[in-house]
Amino acid sequence: MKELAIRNGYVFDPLNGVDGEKMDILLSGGRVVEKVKRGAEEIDASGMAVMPGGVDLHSHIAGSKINIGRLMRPEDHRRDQVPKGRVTRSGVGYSCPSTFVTGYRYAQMGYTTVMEAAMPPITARHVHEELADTPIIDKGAFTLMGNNYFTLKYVRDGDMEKLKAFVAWLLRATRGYAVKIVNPGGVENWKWGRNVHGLDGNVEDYGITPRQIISSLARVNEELGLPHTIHLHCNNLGVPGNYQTTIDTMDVAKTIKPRDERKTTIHVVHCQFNALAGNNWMNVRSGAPKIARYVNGNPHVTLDLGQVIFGDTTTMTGDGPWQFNLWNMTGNKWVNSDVEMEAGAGVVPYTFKPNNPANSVQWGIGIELALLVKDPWRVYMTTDHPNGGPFTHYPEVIAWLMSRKARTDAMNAMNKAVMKRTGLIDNYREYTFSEMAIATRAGTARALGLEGKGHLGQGADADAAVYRVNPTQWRPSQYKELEKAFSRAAYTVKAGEVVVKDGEVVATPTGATHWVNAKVPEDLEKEFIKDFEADFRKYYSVSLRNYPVEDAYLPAQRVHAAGGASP
Amino acid sequence: MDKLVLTPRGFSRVPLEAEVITPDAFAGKSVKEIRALRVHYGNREVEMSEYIHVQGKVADAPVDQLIVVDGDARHIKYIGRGMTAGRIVVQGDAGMHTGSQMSGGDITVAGDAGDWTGAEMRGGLLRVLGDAGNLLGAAYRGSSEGMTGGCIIVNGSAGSEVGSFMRRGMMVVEGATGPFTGVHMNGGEIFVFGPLGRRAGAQAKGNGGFIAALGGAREVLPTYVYEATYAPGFMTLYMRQLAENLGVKHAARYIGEPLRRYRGDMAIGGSAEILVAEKGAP
Repeated sequence: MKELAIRNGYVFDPLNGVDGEKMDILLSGGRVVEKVKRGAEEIDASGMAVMPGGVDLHSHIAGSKINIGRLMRPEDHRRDQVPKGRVTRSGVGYSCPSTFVTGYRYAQMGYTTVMEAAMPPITARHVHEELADTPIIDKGAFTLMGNNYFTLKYVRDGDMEKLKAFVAWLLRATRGYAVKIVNPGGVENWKWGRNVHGLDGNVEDYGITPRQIISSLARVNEELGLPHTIHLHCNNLGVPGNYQTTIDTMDVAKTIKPRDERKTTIHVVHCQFNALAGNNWMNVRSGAPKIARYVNGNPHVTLDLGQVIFGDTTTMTGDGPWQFNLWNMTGNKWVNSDVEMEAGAGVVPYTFKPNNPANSVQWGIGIELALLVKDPWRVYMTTDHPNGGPFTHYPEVIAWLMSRKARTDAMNAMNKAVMKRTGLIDNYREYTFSEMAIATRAGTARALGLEGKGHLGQGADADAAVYRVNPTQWRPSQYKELEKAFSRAAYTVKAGEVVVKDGEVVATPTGATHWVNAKVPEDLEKEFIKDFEADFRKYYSVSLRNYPVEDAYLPAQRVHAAGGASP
Repeated sequence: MDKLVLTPRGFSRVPLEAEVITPDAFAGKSVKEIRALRVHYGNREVEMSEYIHVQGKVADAPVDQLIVVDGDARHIKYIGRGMTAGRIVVQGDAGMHTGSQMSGGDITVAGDAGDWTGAEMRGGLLRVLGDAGNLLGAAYRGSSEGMTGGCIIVNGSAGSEVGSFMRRGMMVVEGATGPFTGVHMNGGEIFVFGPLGRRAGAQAKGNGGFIAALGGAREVLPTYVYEATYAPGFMTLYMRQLAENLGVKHAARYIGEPLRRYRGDMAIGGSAEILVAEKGAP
């Protein structure tokens, strides 16, 4: 059995209350253990920071959307070509990296678990094919449900039991990990060229509101006891003044009773795009203080940033109508995608420019959200890859959060609107190493309900990252060194195996795909299937038998039980 | 200038990708080091000296480096790619992508140049004494930014999609152009002294960009509207500059020439202009 000892590092393991203590981390058989045999492989981590492997809970790395991005952006690939290495395959990078490069680059930053944030059920096979081709990292995918015909139908009929059966069945059929909702009702209306403009807008042909969709799915999510909360992309994304919609949306889930040990009931994704104050893009201001005030007073909410990175990127969301707006604004290339009965999507390349007042304010909002929300366990660092920017820029975001000087230097180089229309200039908070570990691994793992991830306690998965930065000597003015350390981990360990050494990939094992096996009573399932089959036969382009993903698509899988039942 | 002579060891049907042939890559190296630079021969990476004989003097700075490619270089791609300074003279034909993404210095091709010559050019001067291929000064596939600066002069004719997605800079073709000249054009100037190809300026947004069809046009797209016939003063300045400073001798004959102005592409609400010499108007 392969054994490994990471010796003398400064360990940051917030889930177990370890804050920079000098200790050894011992790994054996893919788990963290108390003892290893003499002669185990050793890593000398003295003077370095040791953390659990990074966990990214919102990133677009596989499936039809990112693939549309890959197809429509040859110029993106051309700028970032990755040659074949000793153990690595060739590929391309930047905003729509190939699957292999995605795996390598996450691992190089010390990340070992990444969640694909939007999987339309009918393209689940495609998602899993690409996930299977994404090496090293563990992964999972969130199943899109917010605009699915069956969701809307059961919400209209008020049939919560069937909705529950549907959610459970669909997660199993698509090998999904969580319930993803994108602009509930809006994407359905987009089929008729319209949108919804707020929580109480009308969803065409169903006579229901986004509020009903969110509260129903949130309730069902908790009743099924799914490990993660609903994963929600709010209505009115990218509309200045939308912070109020966001707060109202969070409030919808306030009265939902969470499953046993978890206190949260809603996760709001890429909140930066939903924290805009002002009336239009000319006078857009930061709505982050208002959102943060709500989040600080309400423990049922978690959010991630969707931080903006300046430069050329490819925006892609399941929010079809928003992507249409963005195309109108930019005149760039645009692909619109309609997914039968289930979802929609759009892809538009976009360049965030530092001299653009609105973009600089957006940059400020992301950072401000992270700094104003007091509980680090409820705000997570993401760039909503690749919407705010490619994930490879995480080290920069880490530097901005941990060093006020890094922020000030960045702000001095961009439009002054960031100083006038956000409160960032008056914010002196700097993340500690421990808080950073929470925002990038411990907190995200807890939010996802991934018990073996995000910590280094006994029995945890043997996923760890060693960074070449001495936390006892580091000062915020040395943010460039921090950036360097986090972009190229000294060591990344995945399932007890060293996969990255000095920032270079040295091994490419297969990571597991995580999914949730949720169950409802058998008679309810039968009743649901009967109803489901009839509609499916009438309206779908495939037959039901060809719909669920077979196990062959998941070469390595980890099944999680819902509601504490055995999987 | 220090002169370095590169002699291809004969023509090859397998292309040689040699983006290292730039003053930037050569300057400051010894001739031995230059011979050992890596090029791609088909799918193999080889030393340059295997297919090209190198002899001469190397300059310390790119700006003082003159590279003469002496012989048929039709099979050599990417000559002068991304160069920033210095000079390259190709005595015969040059292959595809010659001078692509160059931002300074100058390149002269005595013979014909292949497709994608001067693609996504940023600055500098590129002169082709023979004909140029398709996609002269164009944007690479997918990119929305083609030529953004510099000047391309072709004494002969050019192929299709000349100056696609052009943003700024100047392009002069003394002969004819193929279809879709200035497609997606978004700024910059294209002068064509021979007949202008069909569907010129399709999807052009404008931003001050124009195509001057001094040798007339076979057709103008119906999405371009005729506005006026006039002899603009700025054209006199251009023609004088072309004739006196850029060696386009017969440009002087077009001073004061009446031009028909068309504006479009209306299909996308563009404001680009096609100026067609009255004599050759469709």
